[in-house]
Amino acid sequence: MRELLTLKNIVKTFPGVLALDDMNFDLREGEIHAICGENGAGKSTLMKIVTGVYKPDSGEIVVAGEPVSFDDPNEAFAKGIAIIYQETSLFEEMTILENIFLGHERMKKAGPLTFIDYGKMRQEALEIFKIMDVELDLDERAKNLGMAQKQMVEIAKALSHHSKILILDEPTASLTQREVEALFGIVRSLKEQGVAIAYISHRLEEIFELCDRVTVIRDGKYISTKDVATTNKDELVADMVGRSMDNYYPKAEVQIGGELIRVEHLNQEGILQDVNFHINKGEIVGFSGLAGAGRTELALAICGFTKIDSGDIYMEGKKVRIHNYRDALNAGFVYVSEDRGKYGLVIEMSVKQNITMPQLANMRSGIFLDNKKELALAGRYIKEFGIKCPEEDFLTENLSGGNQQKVSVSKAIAMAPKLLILDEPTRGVDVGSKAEIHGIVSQLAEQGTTIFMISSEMPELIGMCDRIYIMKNGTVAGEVGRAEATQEKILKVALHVD
Amino acid sequence: MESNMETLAKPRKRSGLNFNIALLVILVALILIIGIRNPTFLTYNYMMSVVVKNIMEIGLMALPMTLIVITAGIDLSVGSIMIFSAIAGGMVAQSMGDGMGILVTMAVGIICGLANGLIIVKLKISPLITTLATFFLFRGIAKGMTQGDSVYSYDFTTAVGNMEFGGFPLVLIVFIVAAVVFTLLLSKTAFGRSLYALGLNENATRYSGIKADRTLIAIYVISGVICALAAYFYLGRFSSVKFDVANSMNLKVVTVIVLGGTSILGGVGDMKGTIIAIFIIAVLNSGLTVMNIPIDVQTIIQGTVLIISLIVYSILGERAKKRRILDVSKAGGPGSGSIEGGAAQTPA
Repeated sequence: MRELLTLKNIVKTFPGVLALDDMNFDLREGEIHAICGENGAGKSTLMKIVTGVYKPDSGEIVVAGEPVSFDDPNEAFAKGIAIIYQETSLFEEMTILENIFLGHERMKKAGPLTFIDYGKMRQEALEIFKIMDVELDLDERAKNLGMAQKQMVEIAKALSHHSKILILDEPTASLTQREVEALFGIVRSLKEQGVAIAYISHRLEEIFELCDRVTVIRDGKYISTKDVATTNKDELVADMVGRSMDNYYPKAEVQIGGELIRVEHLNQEGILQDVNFHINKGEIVGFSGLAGAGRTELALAICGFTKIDSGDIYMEGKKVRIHNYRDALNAGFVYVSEDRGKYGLVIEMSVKQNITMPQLANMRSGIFLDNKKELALAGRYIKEFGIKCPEEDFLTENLSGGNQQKVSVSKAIAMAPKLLILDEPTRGVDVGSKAEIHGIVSQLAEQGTTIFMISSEMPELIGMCDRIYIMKNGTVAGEVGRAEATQEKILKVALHVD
Repeated sequence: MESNMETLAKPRKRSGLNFNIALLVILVALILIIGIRNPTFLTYNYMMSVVVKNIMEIGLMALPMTLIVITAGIDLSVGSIMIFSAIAGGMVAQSMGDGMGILVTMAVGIICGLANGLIIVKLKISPLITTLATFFLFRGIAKGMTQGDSVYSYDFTTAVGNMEFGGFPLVLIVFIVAAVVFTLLLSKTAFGRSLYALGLNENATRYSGIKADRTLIAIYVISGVICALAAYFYLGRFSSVKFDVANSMNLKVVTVIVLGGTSILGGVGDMKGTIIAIFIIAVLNSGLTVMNIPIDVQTIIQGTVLIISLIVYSILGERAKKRRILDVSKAGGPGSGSIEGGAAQTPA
């Protein structure tokens, strides 16, 4: 079989991060080739290079035997490379037909005028649907379609551009079992037509059901490419996690006290199912799981941002009722969001105003805000965390990302929480700041703060946590202690591989 | 380095101050120009009984409207709430006495404000659409209640609408007190701080444990209360009202806010700007009349003043932004290490 796409020795760096290091990948005509790796392994960076979103620092991209260099996604698209994302990008108010040919409508001339040739487009679309072996009403508006049907339209759109290389990024993440089967049918018929398909998925079962070869990447490095027929799940998992443990996790030994929080039978329709867990005083407890397993949703539910349908929360043995975030703060929980710019900070306000915002009631003398109290609180944390700003009234938007993250964490810690909930505290942070944040977390635990840490980086959880809960499908599916925690164990529960 | 740090410190505050000074200069210039052309304008009596008195209802409503606009909201129903509450109170007073009239006016104001707030917060319908709808709704109810007839002032409203202390109208005293309260509320309290935060980033504000829903409902209710307060004076001053008067009052209030430098996008602005702008509009309204300038030309002049002030504001804003960027890069840039050196040199 002919090689349609070859990547050789691709290197891509971002400031402070080596995203791809000497990456190799090849895709043959008429094959389905899976790409596997943990969150953050570099899958999406790799795909962005293939589709022309990023330019590699060095290395070679060969499409159908011809070396290429893409300056933007349109050039990759013109070479026949199309990507279908989890989230589709159809125009809701347009019909299927209009969506498929958007931007490259077939035209016909009538004297001096040019018209859209709906007849021709309709005929072409039907031919594409025949290849895909699907039936959809071309005049249906996109907004009336289900997720799976939208994906089919996206695929048809790619084929209308005569794409020979199709990348599917987690296509089954939001599909039902029946829809998944329909999608697999389409993918297989495209394969018969000689289309090369790169298939990214977290679900190992799917890889064994659908794919011909599988390439594993880890930490931006190429690890292995194997024929699916000659490998097994255990081998793949080992390849995915087989890194030696980094030693920049400064976890200190802390005296673990009695129970701080216990959550029993927490339910939230369609999101959380019968969640049970507890955390003891002084513990750092990790929450692992794949994207969509319900970790952030759990944190938001216990903090009162979303309503729970049933279940109980006990703090130090006493039942607490939490209807909104203010109640959660009063109970001693503080939540630090992973999205600093959207939920963490008001960046147009000063460092001081951000740090004092959750406790303005404490910043008053009489009924008015007392600037001295505000300055004192902000000044203390600027000093303690080494936030690099000339003064407390400095605008937060003028700080670097790492310093903004420190402001966001300061704001939470200034509340003196009993339970600090950190949601992906090191996502998008470079290696240096990462170690610094781990240091702060460890120090807090030493000072008696209990920590609920959500992270998609397993080494981080294994390195930092006393215990790790593993979530899957909106429930706690397993638990491992510090002593026996390995990435294989966690991944086995998260992927449910026996 | 020291002076550098100083400019770095309060760029936004400075531009706000600059703008308020510019507004003040415009106000004084207008008073002088009109006063020179027609000295009657500068007499105490004319100032109090014409210039000030005619703007007071708009002035009162502009105070809570500033709070609303800072949260990136708007209340287009203010004039309608005032008329509706004046009419409802006036009708009740005819049959049940002044006490009930006073109560009903205030109750209607509160209920209208609460309705706006609940629709905006609980049903998540945009403030613009909500209050545009209630603008018509409240007028419609007022029309239905009166069947198009006028409603007359009663003893209480006549008294407060015309009460003076040595030529100093009661309404101006009430306005001054309200202006001081609103200024302090916005600039000195936790409530005021949360309004700015809501206007800049509602999500982050909620994630700071601030009860955003309650705060937002509260400002629309406050707006309703002030509309009812204005209703007493309005009914007393004109001795009767019909459902269709003061139709463009909402836009006049919004004009004041915008002229005062409050961003319609939320998060930026202050009460002082609004207060100065109230008097600029007052001087323009009465001053152009006293100069015998025809009403259509007056409207053109008012529009022009508004556009000029917006241009001035955008120029000042751009400059402040440029200076800020310049200062940051001089200080070594936010991301670079050298700003640390700057911080170390900042006097304690």
